[in-house]
Amino acid sequence: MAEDRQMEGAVKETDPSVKSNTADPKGKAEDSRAKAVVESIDKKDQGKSIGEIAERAETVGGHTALLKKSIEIFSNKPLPEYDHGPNKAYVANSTNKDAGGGSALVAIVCEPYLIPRTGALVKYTAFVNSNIAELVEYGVVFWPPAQQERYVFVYKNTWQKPLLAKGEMQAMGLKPEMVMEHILKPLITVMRDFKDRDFTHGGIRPSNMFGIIRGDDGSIKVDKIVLGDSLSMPGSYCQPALYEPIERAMTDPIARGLGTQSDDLYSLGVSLAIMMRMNDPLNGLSDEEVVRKKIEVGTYSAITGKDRFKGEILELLRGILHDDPSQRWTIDEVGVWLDGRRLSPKQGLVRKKAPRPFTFLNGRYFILPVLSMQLKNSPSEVRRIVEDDSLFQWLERSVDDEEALERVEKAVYDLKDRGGSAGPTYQDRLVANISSALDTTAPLRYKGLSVMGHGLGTAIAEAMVLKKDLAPYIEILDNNLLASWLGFHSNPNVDITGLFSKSELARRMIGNKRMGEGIERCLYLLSPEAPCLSELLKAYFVTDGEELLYAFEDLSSKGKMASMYIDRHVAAFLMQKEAKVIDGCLYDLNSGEAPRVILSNLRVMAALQKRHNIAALPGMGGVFAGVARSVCEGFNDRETRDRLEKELKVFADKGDLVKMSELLDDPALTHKDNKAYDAAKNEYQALVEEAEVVEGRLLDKEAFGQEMGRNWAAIGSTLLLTFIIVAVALSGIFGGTVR
Amino acid sequence: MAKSSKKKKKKTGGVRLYLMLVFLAVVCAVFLSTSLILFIGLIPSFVAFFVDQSEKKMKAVTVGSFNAIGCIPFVMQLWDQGKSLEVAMQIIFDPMVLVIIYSAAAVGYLVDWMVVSVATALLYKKGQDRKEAIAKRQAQLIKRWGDGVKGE
Repeated sequence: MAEDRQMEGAVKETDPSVKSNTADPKGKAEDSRAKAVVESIDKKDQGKSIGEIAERAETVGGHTALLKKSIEIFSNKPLPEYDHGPNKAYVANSTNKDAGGGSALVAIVCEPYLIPRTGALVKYTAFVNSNIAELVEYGVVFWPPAQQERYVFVYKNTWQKPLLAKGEMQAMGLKPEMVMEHILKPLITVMRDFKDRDFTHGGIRPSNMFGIIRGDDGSIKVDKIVLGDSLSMPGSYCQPALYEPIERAMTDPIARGLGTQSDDLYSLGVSLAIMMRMNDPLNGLSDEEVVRKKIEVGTYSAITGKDRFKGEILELLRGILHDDPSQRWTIDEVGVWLDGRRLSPKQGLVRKKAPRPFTFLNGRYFILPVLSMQLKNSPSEVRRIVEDDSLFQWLERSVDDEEALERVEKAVYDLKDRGGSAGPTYQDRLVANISSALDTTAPLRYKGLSVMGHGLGTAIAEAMVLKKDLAPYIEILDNNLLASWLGFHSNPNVDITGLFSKSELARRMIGNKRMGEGIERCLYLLSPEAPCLSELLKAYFVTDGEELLYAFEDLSSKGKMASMYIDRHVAAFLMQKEAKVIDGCLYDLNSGEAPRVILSNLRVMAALQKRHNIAALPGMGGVFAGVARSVCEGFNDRETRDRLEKELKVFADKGDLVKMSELLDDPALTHKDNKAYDAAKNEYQALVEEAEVVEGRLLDKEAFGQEMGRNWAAIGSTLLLTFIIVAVALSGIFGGTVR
Repeated sequence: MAKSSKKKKKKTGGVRLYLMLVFLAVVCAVFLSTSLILFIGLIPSFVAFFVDQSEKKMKAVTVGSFNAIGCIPFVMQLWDQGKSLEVAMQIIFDPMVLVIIYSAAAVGYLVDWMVVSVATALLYKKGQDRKEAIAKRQAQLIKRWGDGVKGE
């Protein structure tokens, strides 16, 4: 119930579709919006065949979204009983027989801040089990109420009513025999399928199980149990703390990360107990109180309260509700139990309880995990109990847990060793380290956040979409708190090694302020399923390079591109998804020089166009042609610039970014231009020098050419003299006048 | 080393001049009558040589050439009449002869003045044309390559 209130609140704040559904009147507004939708789809599909586009456009109406050309989703026909947390359910209809044609369909539309589990689709679609919600189709649609793209999962609607409706008491009082026969047995087949395909559901609870028929007298008959959606949001996001194992229940829902099959079995155990119990001993308690109760008395006792179950059910519930993940029954053990072999009942987890309490903020604590939970409430008090040694003394003398003492000492020592006891975040870091050391299965607690390592990515995504403060996440990664947490973490089901390497990578990236690194890169590293969260792509759901290009083409053709395409998010997204196309351009992208930034944008987009074999992107071509002048100005030769601009225009009209990039990014042309420019500079310099000489000489008109004239006169007169002498000599020789 | 080679050169040059003067003196002594006519007849050339301050003394060359042309008929006359010193004196001290020879030198001055004037006019025009051509080419370079081509 608490989770329902929380989810609804979130939706009211963030889901424009809710407002649109209620506020939008029918009529002309619908028609104009439908027209806009058709136009937007047309533009986006320019790279595709005209036939495809026409078919898609024809069937789109004002309240209708079209998925993969065959499934209509009606935004004016909500199905509130199938809402999955903030993700709303709507009636859908398919015209394709292979994709649920003729059947009733339900579409779950994902909220932008909840990252759908697209990575699990391959496993999920392979299930052939009538007790799992049958996924008919999935993908991105243009969602008319929000005027945005949304990810949608379309299931065959054979769900009937949920076992537990919103607001109903969490105690159904069903007969154990009925639960065993109609609920447990089918769900165990489902769990076996999950195990075979290494799939975790993360949404097992009565309100997400469907298939009951309610009689007029209030009696419940289970027809065919179907486990509902789990793909439309991060793992366990909608699970109330009640249904999650203690360590995950302590965690913020968005930051739980994908659980394990053991966690699913635990959720199943809680669900079974709630179906069978007559009373709700946890009614009215907050999530934190529920968790505390579970820690203090154990999950089984906390959930069953005064209800007493028969031997065999007791055995099952004790097995799958065990608070120690390593002691919890596996699906194989449940199978053995189902086959009739009776296993010895599991004893609950015995937690070490100190004989003397530790006083913290006027509270008295005997158990380490409970104390660990409270530390976040006063970081300054945590500093005090560390500095006055009271915590160490209590651990040593009362708890008598040497390992815990060593861990806490290490937590403090590591922190001092890494950054000293100074700095504004010291106290918060101390809380994070000590709470992890006191409870080795607990989440990382820092500045009001409670996150599991695997859930950090989805939590950062949510914070980014909802414009929350990102500083705590940055500090977690920058201060290596994730690595410290992993160092203490003892849950055997968590992949520590993989997370260690990721945390080290993230730490290196977070310290780098360059485009392509930073918190954005950490987001896509830690949450590979996240779509690109660039502000430019707010209205789109982009999961890969091809979709990125189509989204940009759509924006460009609508004239909505005010700046260049690659911002911090796009750069980080591409670095994570298609590093080859952007890696070599990061230096230029970070240069801050407009021509280099534009050219590197063009290079990246051209590489994507080539890689995904997209025929034409005239919208983007036009944008690049418009800003390419500054790139052309990089060439010294005006004639080259003019020629390039003309050729760019031609390629832009064709939408050929590859050719545009090749044209501007030609090293031979650049070399030739530079060489010719140097020659021109030399020529100009020579002309300047010559002009100085000529001008100097022209200043004295009388003397100008005097020397040359004198030379001419001297040469002429000498020649004349020589001629006469020769003539006289010859006449003397041949005329005999000379004696 | 360089000093000694310079000294050696100077020494060699002085010797050469000395030898030439000796040779000239010998020639003058042998052809005394002809030398007399030439010495007196070429006085304007000697004057021009000393008056011309230019390095190459081209004006003196022009005047000297015409001056020499003026001397040639009278040297020929001397050679026709026996090359004696009396004849030479007779010829050279004839005022008409001197007028003719010095007039030839004056023609040399005239030719020098005329050719220099014509050449100055022609070359000045050519210089102006070149100046315009340079400016035009510079403008073309700036138009094609921008102000950066100035290298400032």
